[in-house]
Amino acid sequence: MKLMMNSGRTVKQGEQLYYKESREYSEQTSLCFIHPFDLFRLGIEGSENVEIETPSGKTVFKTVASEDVFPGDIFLPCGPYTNFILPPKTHSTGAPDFKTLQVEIRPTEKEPLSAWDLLEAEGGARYDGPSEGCPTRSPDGETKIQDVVCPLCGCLCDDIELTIRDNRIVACDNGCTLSNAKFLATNRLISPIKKVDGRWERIGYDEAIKYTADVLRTAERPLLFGWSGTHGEAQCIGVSIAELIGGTIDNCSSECHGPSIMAIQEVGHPGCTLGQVRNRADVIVYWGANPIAAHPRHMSRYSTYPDGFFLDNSFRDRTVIVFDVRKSETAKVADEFVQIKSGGDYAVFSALRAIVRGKEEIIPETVAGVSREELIRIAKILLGARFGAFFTGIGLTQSRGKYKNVRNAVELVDELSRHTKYTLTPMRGHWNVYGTNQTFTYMTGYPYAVDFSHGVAYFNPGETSAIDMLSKKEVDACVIIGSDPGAHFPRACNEHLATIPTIVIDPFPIMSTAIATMHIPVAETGVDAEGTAYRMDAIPLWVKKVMEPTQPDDAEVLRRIYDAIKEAM
Amino acid sequence: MAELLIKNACVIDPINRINGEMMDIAVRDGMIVESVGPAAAVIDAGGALTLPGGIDSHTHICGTKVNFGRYMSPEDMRAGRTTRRGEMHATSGYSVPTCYGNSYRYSAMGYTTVLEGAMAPIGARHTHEEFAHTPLQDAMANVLFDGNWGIMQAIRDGDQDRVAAIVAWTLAAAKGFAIKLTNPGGTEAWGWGKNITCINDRVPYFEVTPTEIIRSMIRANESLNLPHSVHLHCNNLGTPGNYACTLGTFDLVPDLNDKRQTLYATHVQFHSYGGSTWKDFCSKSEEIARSLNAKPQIVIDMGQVMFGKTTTMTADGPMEFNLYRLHHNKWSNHDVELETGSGVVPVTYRRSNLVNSVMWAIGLELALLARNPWQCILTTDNPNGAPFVKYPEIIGLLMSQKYRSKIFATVHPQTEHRTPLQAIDRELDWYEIAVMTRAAQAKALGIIDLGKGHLGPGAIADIAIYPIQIKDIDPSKEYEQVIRAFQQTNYTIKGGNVVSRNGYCTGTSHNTTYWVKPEVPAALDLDHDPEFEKYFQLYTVRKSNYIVQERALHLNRCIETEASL
Amino acid sequence: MMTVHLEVKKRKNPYIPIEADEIIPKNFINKDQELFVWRGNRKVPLEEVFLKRIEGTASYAKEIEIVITGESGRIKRVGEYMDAGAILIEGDIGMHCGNFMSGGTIEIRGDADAWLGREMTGGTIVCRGNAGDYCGSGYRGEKKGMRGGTVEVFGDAGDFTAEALAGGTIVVHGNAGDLCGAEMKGGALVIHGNASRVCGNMSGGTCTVYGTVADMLPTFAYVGTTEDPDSRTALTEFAGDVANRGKGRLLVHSFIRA
Repeated sequence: MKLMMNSGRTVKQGEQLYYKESREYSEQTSLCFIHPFDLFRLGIEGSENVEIETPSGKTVFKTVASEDVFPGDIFLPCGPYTNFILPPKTHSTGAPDFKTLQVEIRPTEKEPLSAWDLLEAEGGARYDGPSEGCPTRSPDGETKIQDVVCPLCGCLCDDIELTIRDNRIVACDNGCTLSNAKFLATNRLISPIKKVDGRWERIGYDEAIKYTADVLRTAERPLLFGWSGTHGEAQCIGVSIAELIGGTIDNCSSECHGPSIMAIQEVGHPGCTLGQVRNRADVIVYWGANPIAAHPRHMSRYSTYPDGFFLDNSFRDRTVIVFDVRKSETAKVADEFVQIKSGGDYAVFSALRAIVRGKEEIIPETVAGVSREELIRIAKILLGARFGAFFTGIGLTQSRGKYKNVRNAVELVDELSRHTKYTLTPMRGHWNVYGTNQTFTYMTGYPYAVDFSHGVAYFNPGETSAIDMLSKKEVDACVIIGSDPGAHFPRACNEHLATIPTIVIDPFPIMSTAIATMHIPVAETGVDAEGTAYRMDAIPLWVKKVMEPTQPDDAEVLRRIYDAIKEAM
Repeated sequence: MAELLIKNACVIDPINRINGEMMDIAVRDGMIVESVGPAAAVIDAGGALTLPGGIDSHTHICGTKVNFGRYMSPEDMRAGRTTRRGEMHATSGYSVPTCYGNSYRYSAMGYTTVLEGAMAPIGARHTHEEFAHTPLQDAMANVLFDGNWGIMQAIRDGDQDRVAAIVAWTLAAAKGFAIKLTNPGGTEAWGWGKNITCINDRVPYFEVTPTEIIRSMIRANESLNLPHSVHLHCNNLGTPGNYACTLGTFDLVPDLNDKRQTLYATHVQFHSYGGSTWKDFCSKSEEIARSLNAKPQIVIDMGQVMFGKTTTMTADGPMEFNLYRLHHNKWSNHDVELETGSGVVPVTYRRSNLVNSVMWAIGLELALLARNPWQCILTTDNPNGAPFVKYPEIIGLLMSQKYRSKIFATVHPQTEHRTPLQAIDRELDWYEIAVMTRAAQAKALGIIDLGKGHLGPGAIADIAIYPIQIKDIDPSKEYEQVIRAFQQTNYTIKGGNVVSRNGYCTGTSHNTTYWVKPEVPAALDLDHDPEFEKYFQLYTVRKSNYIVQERALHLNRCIETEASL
Repeated sequence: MMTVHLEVKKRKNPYIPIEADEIIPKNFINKDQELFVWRGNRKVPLEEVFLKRIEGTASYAKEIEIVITGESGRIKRVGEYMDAGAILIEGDIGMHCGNFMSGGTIEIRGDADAWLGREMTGGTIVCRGNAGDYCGSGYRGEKKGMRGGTVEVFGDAGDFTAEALAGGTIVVHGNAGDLCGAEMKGGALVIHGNASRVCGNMSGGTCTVYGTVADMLPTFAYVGTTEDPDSRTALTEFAGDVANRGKGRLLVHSFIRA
């Protein structure tokens, strides 16, 4: 049976981000949310197994009956399972079809594999030994540290209180479940490891750095990918390495909000800091975004629930509208939910723009499953705002049309701004993904996908973006830092990474470890390393160190790699 | 002990009243001294024009909105790319170059000090990060207070001490240098999509007027004994007829400081417009200059417009929205909670466009009609009027009527009916240019005592040697040589080190960030003020995380002032 | 007349992209001029990648034809800034073929990768196979795509074909992908096959689709029906995009609403 696949974040998937070696992670990312009607058509009930297939591959998922998805659609948590079947085609935009992808689905007796199994099928080797523990050091006794910045999502909440005892964080207050999970994670990698004949061996930092420098220096199409999970100072050194070796430096935004940036490059960005929304907004729109799963405190800190200076009763005085293809957790708590047929966002934006321009007479009876009357009613609510705020998610950037969806959103906001106050903020995912764009921009002129192969910086997502380069097998050496393509890149990319020298720099063993030739562990920014990060609204914050490291941090490892390359040149 | 001797320099150093004297300059450990020993390294200037390092007292090169200008404009980035070369990093961008691009290009033109014109305190860390990657200039930043809720509330409550206290705390927290007001009150109104039209409008909810904000901030500035004066971007920028608002603003300014001006009005070209619509738009430079000439307590900078592509960027959010509606080009906006706003719109100034032609003329007129060059500083409000790489052409225009006429012949034919430019025959001389490009800046910013802007013993050895023999050429006729000379120094020396040689820059980083820390009486110290703690809860960041730690700065120099409160 | 034969040599790693913007006719007027290409981050002599053979002589670019044979599907930027002469590509060609082209002709016998004729202002490109995404488009952030000249694709064209088209003509004989003619400002886009969501946000120019438009955007105002004089096909005419200022023309044979 053919269905339309959308993949995205779930709370449970997010909680397991720093426990990817666990069975729980495999279980949570191999689910398939499907409408009971489609289960009936498949002849099965919930919690049974299905095989999902695309031209790029097939694997087994476990179904969960859900009336929140449209009949004809399925929703998969993002992770190694979804990516195992995901074609790498990006339509030359840099971002593959994580959403609005046609798949074939059928019942199966087979059981889902584990995440490590999938990575091995992509050419990797698992790293699933027992937990090596935490290399951090704390003072004697118990310490409480306040106003800690959380290095998990783009909300960059800065009110976390940590309790530290016996060289580790033992309690995390004020944080969401994702924040808790990250701060309390202890399964760090202790020593650099190198893959020899398909098995992992421990090596020293000196050897690891020399190897990395040699690989990068001799490569003809090296790629430095990731960066969202590290601080600005390390990113700057990364840019200098890319410049030195004639490499390409790209950031996870190429597969998440890169399309938002491409839209902004066409039409600009009418934005604001989140405090403007908190203190003023009476209409809040989440479009293709599900903050309850991906940014759990967004609504309580910045938009919907907090007291607003200019609102008498903030909660009651605000209207929250959710546009999505499924009834997400956020949609369930919204005042208005507009369900759009998968892939129909662009048309709905166009229709709303025309209505705001006073051209409602030309709108057809329905637009992407939404009735004309409904659109006119929603447009009235939008126009009635004193201060309206749009928050756009990867529901727009990863579905068909990609950046054109966001461009249309921006142009709707521009149009509304002629009538009343409106702003738009992309819901940036990683804690420092926006910081990467900022750093790359002031260093190179471009926010991501920067190719230095000719000495000057060149930018063209779809050509110089990681997924395009990897799926075309251009890359002949790769450094992965502050990101996990093993879990989040289409299979074809991982298969290529497994054939070239790939060095992972990360505090934790991650899915990418499997397809790497070497993994260099580092201190974790926000725990035992520190530096600058940028919130989703461009507010820069200093991410603190709360314990003493016993390992070098990203900046130090990169600095040593840079020096080693320079010396050998 | 590093010593350097620059021989045979033809020096113009207005602060020390030196005008074209042939002399040697001795440098030891980055400072200018009376003499050095025989082992000193020698640079033979060969009679070339030698000036103190250039200072830009109003430019936009580092921080959130500047980076937004880059981020949203890959087409501008590809318009100016260079590869890595020796110690020089790759650069990108024409109107909004990357940090290294700005630094190298300024350095090639002899500039060693820059002031970022607008920094929102909540985003200060970003500006400082970029300063750290602008290696060949010392830097300082204006801090935006135009829509500061705490200050507007204190003004409404008539609590002038609290105004000063908030300014003092915020400058130190943001590691900023001076008070900037951009469209005072207007940026808060823009939080509701509205604007302020002139100095007597009331800000929504806060019920204060720009007049009250400007007056109160001038008092606070002087009571904190800050090196620089209030730095003002007047209300109503870029609209026909706004000159009246500008004159009204100038009339508010008392003369409170005997070492420098009491108000620095920036990019006044954009505020000197007559007419009631774009149709009868005309120059009011004469009226503005007349007011300026009568008020020694005011210093202005030009905000000169030059033809071509550029990117406008300002904290003046509502102005940028109007510009977007005029040009239908891409528009970015970034309102900043409790503080200010900002906007970015790329534009092209065209000779064939009458409005643009008149704008071009107004900037020049201001510089030529201002009697005292110490009161009119050369800027383009980079990159708003034009990228700073156009400064040499502006110098050419100010020094040569012939050149002005030549360009005038290419602009919109109606321009002559709208502007007095063609009737002005003044040609500025070398000394006046030296004043307008470094000495007046040093005086206006209050940094002469820190050793900036001059070449006397005790000064920081920031020196620019230009490849031109001023005795041998007539700038009125040979303006092309003047332009070429100012485009690229033979030597740019910063802190005693050669940082740029014939346009080739070294990557060595000795740049220092200057910031101000006013000492206020304990009762006004907001660090432990419960009311201020409560006020801070309106922000979405914690007070402790809002403060930029000193160690997050690159090399820095703190200017401590004693408040008279 | 001169013919320059460039045969792509076998490469150890055939996946590393080659950038060959120096391959334009005028660079061969002087036969001995050293030319370079980029192989990844290495600048190498043209001869390291191509077997070069030249027949005849020429004094002007217009007298030169370059013939490229072999595995040329990864060779980018061939014909960039070309102003006269001819390039014939026997097989496939990589990205950015004919960027900024202002004159002359390029013929591709196989398929062309993305950004064929990006920002071109004149000349003719004929692609016998399929063209990739962004055929005749602009650069990121730039307001205008192709401004003049002609691109004719005999196979299919990819997504975002003719994005921000500002002048010239693009003809696709097969199907075109999603969001073709988005932001179109001028010029003509002709699609003989099918396409989806054409002309989003168009503000000028004319787009004609002789096949079926899937997910037709809701913001095009019905104008009337006409008959195409050449093909005798009945076409429905729309004005749009009304979400923008609605100054473009869209003619379609048939459509299905989003």
